[in-house]
Amino acid sequence: MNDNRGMWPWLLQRITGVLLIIYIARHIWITHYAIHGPITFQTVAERLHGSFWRNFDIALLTLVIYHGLNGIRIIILDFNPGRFIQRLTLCGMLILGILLFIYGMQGLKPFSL
Amino acid sequence: MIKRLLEDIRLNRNTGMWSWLLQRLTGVLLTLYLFPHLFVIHSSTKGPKVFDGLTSKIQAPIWHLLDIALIAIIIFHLMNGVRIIVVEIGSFARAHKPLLLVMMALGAILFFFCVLGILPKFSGH
Repeated sequence: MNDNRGMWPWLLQRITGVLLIIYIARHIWITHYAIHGPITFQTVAERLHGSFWRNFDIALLTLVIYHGLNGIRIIILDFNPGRFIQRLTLCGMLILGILLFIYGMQGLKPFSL
Repeated sequence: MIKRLLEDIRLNRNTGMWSWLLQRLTGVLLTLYLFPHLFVIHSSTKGPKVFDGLTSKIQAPIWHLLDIALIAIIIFHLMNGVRIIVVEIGSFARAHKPLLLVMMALGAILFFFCVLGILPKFSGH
């Protein structure tokens, strides 16, 4: 059993990766193929109508932030930095992730009014 | 640090190295893409007019070309990611090279249909 701390981010990176296949396929399909004509505030607001699609986008935002920032963290750790840089990377990614989530949620809000 | 990486790449010029390197490169690109993507969406907080002004700009033909590049990057990262998971959990490590070939072939087919779907956008449909 690998119950060290690196096991969980590794597993979560795989789980979020698999989920993102489904989410991004659906995301690209809806934004580029299912709706014809240009993307406007109106079409996005119609698409996001109802809690299901709003929750879908919130889930997608969360998954993509985790997967992306943890991926960057993995790349930095692969360079074998010291303990301080490892901690700094983790804290930096956590803060950046929270800020990105708030920023993304603010962007979603006007559509659901 | 970077020198070590380049030396490692030089000494291990094989399939696994390239897919490893490309997975990281495409991963970084996709994470960086998240920032302008959220920036465009965030413009909605300034009202529908600002949002429509920005989204109409990024639906010019040149941006559809970038969309195609983005889809290619996503498909590579996705297909290679699935291969990584299969190799890790299924002890298919010995088959990782043919598996890469299979995944890339499947990815190419997927990419072809994605491009077919985007083509009408160039004429504004």
